[in-house]
Amino acid sequence: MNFDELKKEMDDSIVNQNIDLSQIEWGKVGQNPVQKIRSNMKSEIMIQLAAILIFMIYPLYIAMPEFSEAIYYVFMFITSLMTMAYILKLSFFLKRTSRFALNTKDALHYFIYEAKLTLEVYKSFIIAGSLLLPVPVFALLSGFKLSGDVWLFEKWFLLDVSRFELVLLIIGYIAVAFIFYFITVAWTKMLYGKYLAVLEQVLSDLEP
Amino acid sequence: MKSKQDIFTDHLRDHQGIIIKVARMYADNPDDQSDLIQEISFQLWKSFDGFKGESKFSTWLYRVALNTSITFLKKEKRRVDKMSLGVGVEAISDLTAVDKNSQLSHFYKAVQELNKIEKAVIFLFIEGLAHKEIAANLGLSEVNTRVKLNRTKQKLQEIIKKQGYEF
Repeated sequence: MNFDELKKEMDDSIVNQNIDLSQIEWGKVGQNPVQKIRSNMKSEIMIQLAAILIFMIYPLYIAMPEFSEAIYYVFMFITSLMTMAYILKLSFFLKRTSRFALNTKDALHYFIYEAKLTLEVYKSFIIAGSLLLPVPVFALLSGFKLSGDVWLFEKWFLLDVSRFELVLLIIGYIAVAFIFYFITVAWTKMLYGKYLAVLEQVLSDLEP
Repeated sequence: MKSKQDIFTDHLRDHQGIIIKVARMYADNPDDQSDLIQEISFQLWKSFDGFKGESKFSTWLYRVALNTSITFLKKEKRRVDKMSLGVGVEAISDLTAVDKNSQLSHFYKAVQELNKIEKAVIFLFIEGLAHKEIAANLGLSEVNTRVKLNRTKQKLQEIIKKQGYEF
């Protein structure tokens, strides 16, 4: 194979070719895994902060019964603290990788390692937070319903229920926990995992 | 006095050939080539502040263009939208200008079967860069680069032979 000839043919083939700079989108999000991961993380932080705000303000407008409201705020406070903890972790990751260039194998290793570590923390916190979330959600949904002369949520929360209802409650809670777990894993894979897989493939191609 | 963007576009115009050649190495159809050219130009502009002029613009461009191509994500969904609208936004005048029976055409076809790192190694070799420079561009060791280059040449020869062509 004559590479000099190839080089000449390559150069000849581009003589009359021009890039139309007016067609370039200068302000877009880059189509590479690092920028996609960073951009998805930024969007997620904004959405989660907005969600915390909405969940904290909403009950003020609907005047929940005192007991339901107290439980709602205790659980939402703990969930929000956990959310803030992993948002902080995501922000640190974004800061550390803000001027990141994947120009060496070590840089690629570093990015993949840091991203995976951050996402493991993120997943753990989301799953733990999600296990708490059904309580305030239930308080919100059943807070206004009466069971006899007691609020339904109060009765359920204090476990003032029959054995059969208790078993149903436990099964329901475990089912919700599993659903949250699988949704979280699928969500993380969709937003970040597929891009990390591309980087891991590049890393594997770089090996001797 | 010229603005930063003017200086950048002047550089880009002077070296656009490299970008077109890289796009042809990494994408086998005009749509993907056009997308990749857009992405490389965008990434060059984004990191232009990092170019201090200590090396030649072309040296810096090789590095950014190849790093971009190695991790480039194709936009399949947008292509369907574009086709359904009948709109073709191309960043380059004519990307299919390679004679279909030429040695170059067979080379580009064969290159599509290489992985992204192999494409970069063979491209830089054809461009006339020394092993040391290829290694520096890809963040590899010189020994690894030599091994990769020899294997890639062999692999390429075999692919071209399988295509029923030899040169």
